[in-house]
Amino acid sequence: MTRKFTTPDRVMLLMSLVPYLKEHGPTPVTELASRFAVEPEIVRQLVRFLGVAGVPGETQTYQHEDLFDIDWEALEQFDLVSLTQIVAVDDTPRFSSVETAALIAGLHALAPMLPEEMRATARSTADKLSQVQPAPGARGAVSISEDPEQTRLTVITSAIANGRQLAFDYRDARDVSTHRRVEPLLLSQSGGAWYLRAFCLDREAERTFMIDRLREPRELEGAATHVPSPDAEKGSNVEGAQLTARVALSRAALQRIADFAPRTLGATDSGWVLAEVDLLHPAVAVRLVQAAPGEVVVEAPAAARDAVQRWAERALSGYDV
Amino acid sequence: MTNAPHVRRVPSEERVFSLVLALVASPQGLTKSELLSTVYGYAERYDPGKPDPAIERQFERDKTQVRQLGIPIETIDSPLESGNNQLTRYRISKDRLQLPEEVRFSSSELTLLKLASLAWTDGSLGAESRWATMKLTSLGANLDVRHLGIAPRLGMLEPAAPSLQLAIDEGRVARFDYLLPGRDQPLERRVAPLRLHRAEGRWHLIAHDIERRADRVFLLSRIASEVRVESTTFDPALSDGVDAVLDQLLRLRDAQRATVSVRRGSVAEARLESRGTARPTRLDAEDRTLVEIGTLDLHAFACELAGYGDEARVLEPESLRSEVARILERIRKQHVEGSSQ
Repeated sequence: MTRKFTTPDRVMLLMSLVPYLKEHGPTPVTELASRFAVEPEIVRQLVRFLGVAGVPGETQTYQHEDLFDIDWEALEQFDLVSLTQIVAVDDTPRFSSVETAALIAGLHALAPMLPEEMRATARSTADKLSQVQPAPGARGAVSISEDPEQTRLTVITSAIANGRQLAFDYRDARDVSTHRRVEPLLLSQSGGAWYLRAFCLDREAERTFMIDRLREPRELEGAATHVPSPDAEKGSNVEGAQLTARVALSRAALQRIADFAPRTLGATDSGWVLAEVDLLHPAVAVRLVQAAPGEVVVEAPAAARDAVQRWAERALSGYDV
Repeated sequence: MTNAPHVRRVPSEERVFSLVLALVASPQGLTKSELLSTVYGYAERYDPGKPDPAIERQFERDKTQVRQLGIPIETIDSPLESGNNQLTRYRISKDRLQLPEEVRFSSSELTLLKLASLAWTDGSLGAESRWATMKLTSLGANLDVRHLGIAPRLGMLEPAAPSLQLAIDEGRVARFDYLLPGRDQPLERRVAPLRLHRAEGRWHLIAHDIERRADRVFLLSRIASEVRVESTTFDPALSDGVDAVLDQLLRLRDAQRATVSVRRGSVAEARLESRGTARPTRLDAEDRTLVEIGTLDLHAFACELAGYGDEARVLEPESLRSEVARILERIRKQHVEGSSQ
């Protein structure tokens, strides 16, 4: 994902590089770039500035003893960052009140999907963080009520943490059940659902499994040795799209189907949005409607629209209306 | 450096970082004119003899940006001439800037914190997520998330979230149109926004409704307009009531129960089972299980249940049952050939 790296981002990176370098000593630019998840060129730019940054001293001008310094030769010749003098700031900044609230909420969101020991650590870390007073006048802007324990997820996170293989029964989108043995790689969330990216030992290839379709996961004795391919974090929905559907939907619903990568075509008279979505199969159109029931209308092709109509009729047959 | 002005335009981050350093380095604080005439990035353009509103505005913006990053700038009023902001001194206390030395996190704590931080990458807390992640990295969090194998996503994607976030941070009154379920027209509400709270996977705004003089809970998904943030501020003490509102909300969940039959092995079962309040009962005659669930909001729950189609069927209460049937009927009609929304 390419985001604009803003001025505050750059300031924060400078503030964070100083304690990192103080702790770790001379570090290659590429390593800093990967640790802080930024382009190496941004690190180089900022470090070149850091090497001359400082405070106006008693004479109100920048004197050598009031300036940061770096080993310029190491930077220019070996792309290595070595801070040789530090002024004014030397430790990690506190978390702001919003950051603190977001971290605590994040830990509470994680807890129900972690194995027991890690869950306890998540909760105690949240408590510890709440003891650190952020800036005065702080407001806890966000919070989260912990969900009940997600047993299916805890079995999987535990297998990942232990580096073990996993077995489960899987019912695919066409209702076919199979028994699978996999090496679990990554659990990720997309459009409200959880997905497991795993190396399937039966198929000898990486596959994505929807957690809600997976039954009775159990950790096996066998060790997991595969590492995720670089694109493991993506790849839930969009391989080999077969058809393009036209949908009319509310603006709120457009947000909710963001994972289907809708392309907006324009607005309708009633203030809704017209969009195109690539689908694997006409029946997948139902998932668009499920994302925001009543606020997504699949208009074309007819096969997709009919699939939604039939789906609604099947559901209605359970109600005497 | 100060001897070579006009060589290039100073990038903003260099000016802002230099401002932070100057404010930290001066325990007694510096006045605005002292800062502008010495700090790299301003000094090259500042002439004490010639007031320049553009530089002064830039200084104000830079201060706001520094505060947003969680770096508190203190202001010290002049004892000689209180209220004269030309004499106000600014400083950053190193103790309040930096994480106290006694607070350090173990590597497993840092790993979880980094996961918690990355969960907010998308949506209205994206910037704060990036900053917190950098701070955690500098504390030693050394983690490629893929190694821990969990990537939750919490980001608030609701269009209302960023403005509400801003209004909460700045303690300012906000207005928006709110569509109550079952009504055709939204009503404008004017509130003191206090907290965004997630429960049952939905984002709620806890706020004090100014016209109704009472605390209220709003669902972000029902906000039907832009959020207009006023310049009016509200009493921060209103936030004291937030925990009580949350308690009440969660008690409501225990009171509002529904009985749903779910198809065994289905997505509906997977999602609803863990939220059940009692042990699910198997219905052996059919391939279904009965689940009893408490919910915060019957209308939002109806929408979720309709989404499961025939995998879930509401038995009780009747109001929820008819609401789900109504939504399904609406979907059916929307998809009959030749119909339109």
